[in-house]
Amino acid sequence: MRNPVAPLVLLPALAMCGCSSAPSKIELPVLASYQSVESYGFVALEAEATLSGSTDVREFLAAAQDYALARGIEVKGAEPSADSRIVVSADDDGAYLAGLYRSGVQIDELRLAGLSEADAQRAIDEMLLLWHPPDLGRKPRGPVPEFALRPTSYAVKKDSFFALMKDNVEHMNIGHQSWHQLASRTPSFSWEAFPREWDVVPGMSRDDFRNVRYEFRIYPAHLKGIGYRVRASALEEASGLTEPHYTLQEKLDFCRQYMWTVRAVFELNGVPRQTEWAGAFNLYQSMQEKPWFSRRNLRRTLAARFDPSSYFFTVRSPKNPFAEACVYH
Amino acid sequence: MNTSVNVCRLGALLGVVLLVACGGPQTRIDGRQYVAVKNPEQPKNVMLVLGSYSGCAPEDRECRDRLPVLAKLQAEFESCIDSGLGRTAPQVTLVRHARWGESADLERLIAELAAGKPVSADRLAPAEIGFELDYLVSIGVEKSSSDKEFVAEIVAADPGAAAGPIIIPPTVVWGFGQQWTNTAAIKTRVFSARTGKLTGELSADLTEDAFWVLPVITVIPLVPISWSPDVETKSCKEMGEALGRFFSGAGNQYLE
Repeated sequence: MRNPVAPLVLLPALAMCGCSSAPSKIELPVLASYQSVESYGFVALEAEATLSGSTDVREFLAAAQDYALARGIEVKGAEPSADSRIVVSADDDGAYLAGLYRSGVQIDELRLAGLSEADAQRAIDEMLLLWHPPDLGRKPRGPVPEFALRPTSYAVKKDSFFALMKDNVEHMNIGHQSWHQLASRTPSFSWEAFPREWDVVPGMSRDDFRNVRYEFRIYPAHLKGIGYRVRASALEEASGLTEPHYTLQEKLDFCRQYMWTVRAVFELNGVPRQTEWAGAFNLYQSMQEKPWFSRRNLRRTLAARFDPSSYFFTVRSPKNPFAEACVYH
Repeated sequence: MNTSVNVCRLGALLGVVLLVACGGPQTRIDGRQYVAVKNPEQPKNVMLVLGSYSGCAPEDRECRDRLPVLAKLQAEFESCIDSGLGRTAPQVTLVRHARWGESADLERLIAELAAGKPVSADRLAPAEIGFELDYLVSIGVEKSSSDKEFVAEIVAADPGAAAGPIIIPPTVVWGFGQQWTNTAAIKTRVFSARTGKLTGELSADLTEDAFWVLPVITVIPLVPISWSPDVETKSCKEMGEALGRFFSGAGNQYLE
């Protein structure tokens, strides 16, 4: 049985791919196309001939296929007759590209850092599953953009220069996101429920969004270069959450820095979709940084320099009762 | 190479030893408490035993011959721990035992503590060790230095000038030297002398930059400058303060 898969009509995105126009001109058509709901058969994964002998590529395709199946998308091997295909190839500079084709027309392209299992999952996530709300045509209301779920257990803030200097300049994060001080070693996190008011565009109803679940992850943070990054493996993760909140099961260590994120996973008119992993992507408001800049190959901005996980929400665990002050490094 | 290292090096090259700036890193304290400290405000007797030092444990044969050395180290650690305890827990008395190396029982006890073995309460009874004891703290110390890195840097350069018949020669202020890091890692295990149970574990880690540098003006060497912080004593005192907070009940509400 063929499952309907991601509803993408991204023809407008084809024109945008690789260009570097002003972000405001790009955002609308991409977002508008993501709202469309349409089934288009099954997805075929393949590698171009020059790469087909590579073990890495075969492992990549297998990982992508397993992950897609786990997310409810039927994936088959290379079949020219497939309505949609994801083709992996290598760029001239050695970078890998994952291209999404529909009816023989490339409608999306993603640059991959490598061919790891994480890259395979990212390809499926971003090319087939991602949900973007419409462009609201307004200035960002805070550090967290509308396409991400906003924390409700506390307000994400940005440190002033003086606060950074007073506190400790070594805590300076990308965008100067404040480190929220947790009061408990098993804290509770909450976030806004999905769908939000603005997710339901004209022509849709809340009933179109079904089986909404949340996935939560919290990672140890570590300083790398000029900002913080998440560790490769999560400290704790939870999926299938029916309510927009989660309490950690394991105790956090004292005096540690962590980064957490959340996303909604749901069905839109029967097809699997999910929101972006949430983060404070609007901290550089003048830059209008957004994760999809790098996805759309818009690599000339500061946004392209940092992985979206650099913007996950930053928190500190409670102070060590045996120490006068926390020492984080 | 991080900024603080550059600041230290630049300061040294300029002849201004930025001790405050270079001494920025603090001791990182970690801890876990398993049993609450009863009556934290009441006076307590605590005994400290140096279980291991830089990988040399008393039960090792080669370390047995170094007992006088370990006895000296024991006394040094007792002093710095006591100094820290005095700041955060004046009600705690560090009972110094003068029988190090003389008592086979105590030696075995220390070896077992260092190995993390459970110790029965009767072995910590007053009759066994000679005085009333509330807690016994075994301490392990690892001290190390990183590889030394050669550094050469030009601080300022004046190309010189010709002012009429007077020629000012070029002047370069530069220097060379080495930089490295000193690290001290202290781990303590706190046992209840009443029950013999492990009641908590604390650790203190400190890494600080060290260097020596010879400033030179063109070809004229100046006085060499060196800085090698005593991370062991500093982290030991902070461990003493942390132990003081432990015995004062600061962690009673955060039991594992």
